[in-house]
Amino acid sequence: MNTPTGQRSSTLRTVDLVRRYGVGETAVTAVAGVSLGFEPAQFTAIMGPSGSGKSTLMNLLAGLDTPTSGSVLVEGQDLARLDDRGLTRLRRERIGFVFQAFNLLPALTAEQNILLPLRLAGQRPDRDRLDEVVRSLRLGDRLGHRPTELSGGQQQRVALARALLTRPAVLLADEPTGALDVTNGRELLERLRTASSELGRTIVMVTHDPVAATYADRVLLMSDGALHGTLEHPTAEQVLAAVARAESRC
Amino acid sequence: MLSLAWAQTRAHPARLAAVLLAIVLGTLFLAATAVFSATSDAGMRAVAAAPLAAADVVVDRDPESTDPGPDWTDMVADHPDIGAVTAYHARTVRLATGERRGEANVYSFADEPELRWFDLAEGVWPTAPDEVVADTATLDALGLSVGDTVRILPREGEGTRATVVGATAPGFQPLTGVQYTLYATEAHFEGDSAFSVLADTADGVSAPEAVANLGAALPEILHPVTAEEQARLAADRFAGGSQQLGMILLVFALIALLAASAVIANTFTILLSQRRRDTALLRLVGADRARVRNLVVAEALIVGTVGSLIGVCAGVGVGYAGASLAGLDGGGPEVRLAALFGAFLVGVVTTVGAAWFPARRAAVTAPVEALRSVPLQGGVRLRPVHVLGTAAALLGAAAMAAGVAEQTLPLAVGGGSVGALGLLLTLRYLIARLLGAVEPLLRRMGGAPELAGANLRRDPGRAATATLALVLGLGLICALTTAAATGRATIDSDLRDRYPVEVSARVDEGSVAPETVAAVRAVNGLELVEVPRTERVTVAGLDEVTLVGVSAELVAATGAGELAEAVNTPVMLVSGAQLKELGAEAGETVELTVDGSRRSFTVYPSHLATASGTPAPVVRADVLDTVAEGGEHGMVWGVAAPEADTDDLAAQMSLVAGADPDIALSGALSERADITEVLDVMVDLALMMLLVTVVISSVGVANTLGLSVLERTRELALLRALGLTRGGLRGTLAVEAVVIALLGAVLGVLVGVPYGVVGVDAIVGGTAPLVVAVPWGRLGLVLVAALVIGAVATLLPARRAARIAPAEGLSGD
Repeated sequence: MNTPTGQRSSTLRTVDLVRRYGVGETAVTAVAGVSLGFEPAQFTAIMGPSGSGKSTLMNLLAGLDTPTSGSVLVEGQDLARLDDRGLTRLRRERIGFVFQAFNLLPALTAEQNILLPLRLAGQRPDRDRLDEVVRSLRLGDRLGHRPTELSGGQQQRVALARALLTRPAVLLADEPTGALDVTNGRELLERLRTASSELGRTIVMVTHDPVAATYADRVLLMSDGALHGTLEHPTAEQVLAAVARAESRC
Repeated sequence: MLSLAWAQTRAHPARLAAVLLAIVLGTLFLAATAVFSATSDAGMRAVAAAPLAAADVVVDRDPESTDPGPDWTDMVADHPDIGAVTAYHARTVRLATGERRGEANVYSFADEPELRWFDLAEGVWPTAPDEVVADTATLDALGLSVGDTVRILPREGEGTRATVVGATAPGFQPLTGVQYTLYATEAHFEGDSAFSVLADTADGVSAPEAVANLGAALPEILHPVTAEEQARLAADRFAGGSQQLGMILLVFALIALLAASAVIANTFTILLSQRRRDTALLRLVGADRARVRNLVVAEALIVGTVGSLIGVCAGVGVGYAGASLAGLDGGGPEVRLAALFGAFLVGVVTTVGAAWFPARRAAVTAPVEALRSVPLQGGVRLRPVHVLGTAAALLGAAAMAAGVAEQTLPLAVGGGSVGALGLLLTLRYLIARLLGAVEPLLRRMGGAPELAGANLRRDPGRAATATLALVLGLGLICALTTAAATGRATIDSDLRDRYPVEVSARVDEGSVAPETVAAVRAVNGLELVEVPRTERVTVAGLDEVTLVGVSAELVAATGAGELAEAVNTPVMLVSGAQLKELGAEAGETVELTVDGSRRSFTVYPSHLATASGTPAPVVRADVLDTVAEGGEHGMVWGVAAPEADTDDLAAQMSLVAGADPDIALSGALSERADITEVLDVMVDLALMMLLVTVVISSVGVANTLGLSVLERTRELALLRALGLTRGGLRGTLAVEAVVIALLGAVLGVLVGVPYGVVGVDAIVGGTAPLVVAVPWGRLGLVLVAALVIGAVATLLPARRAARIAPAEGLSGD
């Protein structure tokens, strides 16, 4: 299989991915021909200045946006071939999401929020699995609470529990630490790293925070919709320097 | 799925309160209508069937055919199949006490106690022909008690006095009852031919057999039927009135439900736009479109079920209470489970149906919106359906106008229907555009109005739906009040044509008593009172008639121009029927033999000839003098001053009539009272029913504002932080509410008034020239009411808005 990184079959792969908004002279190219592979148990951070195309890339990876050209493959399945129902099913079963703004349904309790994807799939929740996830995220005593009764860190852990419960192949995280304090942020990043190293999840995280990026196995630097470098197991200083270089190019 | 919907519902029950309230009111109305109809129907049937309960067979005589004579009952009694018989008499008479008078029905009751179908509440059973039992409602209305005496004046013949010796309360007051009711012995009707005969069959003969045998034996004009069949027929006749009322109620209940569905649809639209990110998140974590839509529908199902249940339960109570109040509950509470279940189902379906379109719109929410925090707007775009609706509305309006102008009823009604349909399709778009047009005005005013305008413009679709429900309620109210005013004016003008004099009192023989003449002269508001000379004469071709000689003043005052004409031959005004009997054309000069001598008259048909309630040809006083001598003044005529209050006149005349039992009243006044009374009752009833619709739509306006406050919490907080006072905030909301309410009222007037006029035209249908009257005072009241609705709708949302702390605008979400 001819993947950019070559050796293994990627969980998530993009081929010459292009996303252009508008037509004619006002057209803006948000993602300009990105080919990438994301391997199992690999934790990737994507960094770049505002407007560099990170978020568009994330949306394309999740099938939330449709590429102008090129394709996204999740476990070998081309997203362009899926209809709305198929995409919905894929997101429900193979992709997990964690966002900056937590994104929990305010009307549901923590437990209901965690079980939501299973419910929507019409599956019976596996209590042992739920207990395991809940215990590992230290949410045991908070399950009956509604999001408004939880702290920011707790809310984010509920979101993470929801994402992990279905054993997704890919976990997409968009600025997951953006609304958290340092302690809670560190803890979340640790858990993400564990999820990739111990549970074998493919994790893609968009972040602004160079420290957060150091938890990743590799950092992809984006600007103007294109990739401008990769750092493997970087330190914060390396990330900072690379970001500075990327920004100077803008 | 249901648990998720339940969680959503439970999380913010207050937000769904408007939906609940709207559906409760709508189904309450529907269920109450069902129970009211069923109960009053059963009540009427019970009462209608009661007199027949003791009989097996009933023999009626054909009222159109010649009277078979008082002895016809014997023909039935002598038949071998028949056991006991009792004659059933009914007579309509005039009833007079010292003060009041009116029409009364006198019924016979069986001489045998076991055949009587009601009991006495007070007093004893009559034993003599001049003793009667009255029902308690009659006694109350006449201000009489047991032991008092009344005068009974039959249509023909001598008046008699009768003593009320007993009272009965059959527990039923007919809705259409204009009359008083008395019951008398069979002997009271001595010499009358019975109305019908109630009979028992002989031993061993079944009722149908007896009917078959009687049918063969009796002359054709006597119709035997089984008592059972007769009870059913009587009940059907009786219940017809309650069924009509039920239909009218049903129409108003459906209108209320229509308003409710607008409120529900709007509430769901607002709720869903607030929950848009939640919905997107659901889509993101794996709910497909159908799932999202079903979730909303499930929520609607929950609220609709709860609301309909409450509404139906409350409706049963209200409906029965209504029937009791109207005195129609004689048969006890009557609840048809199928009807209630139907009302429940209609409530649920209305809720779910109203939520369906917002749900479908919510379902297309893109999952990616969960990642954004941009506020979304709901405008109203011009769609083909709006163009179609506008075209239909314009076309309908043109057809309606042409139909009224050309007096072509089908065109007017057809145009009205097409127009209404068009308006329903296009009104929301139209209102949204109007809101857009109001905005610059508000902007120029600055301050609170400016902010209000900006907000109205931000989501004109939502404000438009709230306004739409209001237009529905207020428009119908405007239509009704206009119809009432126009109907009244049309009736008045028609009566003026048909009755040249407003007041006429007549005695059959001799002269009107001097006291009565004085009393009529003393009536306030009559500009001319005349006591014309009358003479009984025999005119060949017309039999004996009363010839009336009127003065020149009366001729001038009544506009009977033909009499004033200077012609060589004297003029005689006759009724249309008399003109036909004479075989003459209007304006033709005919030879008439009056009291044996031949004379020439130019005859014209005129309503003046029937002014006294009976055809009485009219000539000038000087002409009468040449025809016949005499000194009788058997009539008093009064012409009302143009500005006189007709209701007041009618009240004064009824006093005059009460004092003199011998006079027969006629003229425009008495007929007008009958018609307008019915009209007033109908209009008042309809207005009360429409209030439900207005309440529902006010809830909608309040809800729209309330939810928009919730939605704008951060924005309002920011405004507060920037220096907007609490009062300013309240002012902003008040302006929003008032703009919506006023727009609703103005559109209501614009749509309602023409429909009211066309409605009357449709009913009058060319039988009388339409006189359009616009009730400006009442329409003004509608505007004021709209302002009040706007103000009240602001109360709760303003309180919530005032509690928003300025700091909330600065924190993150």
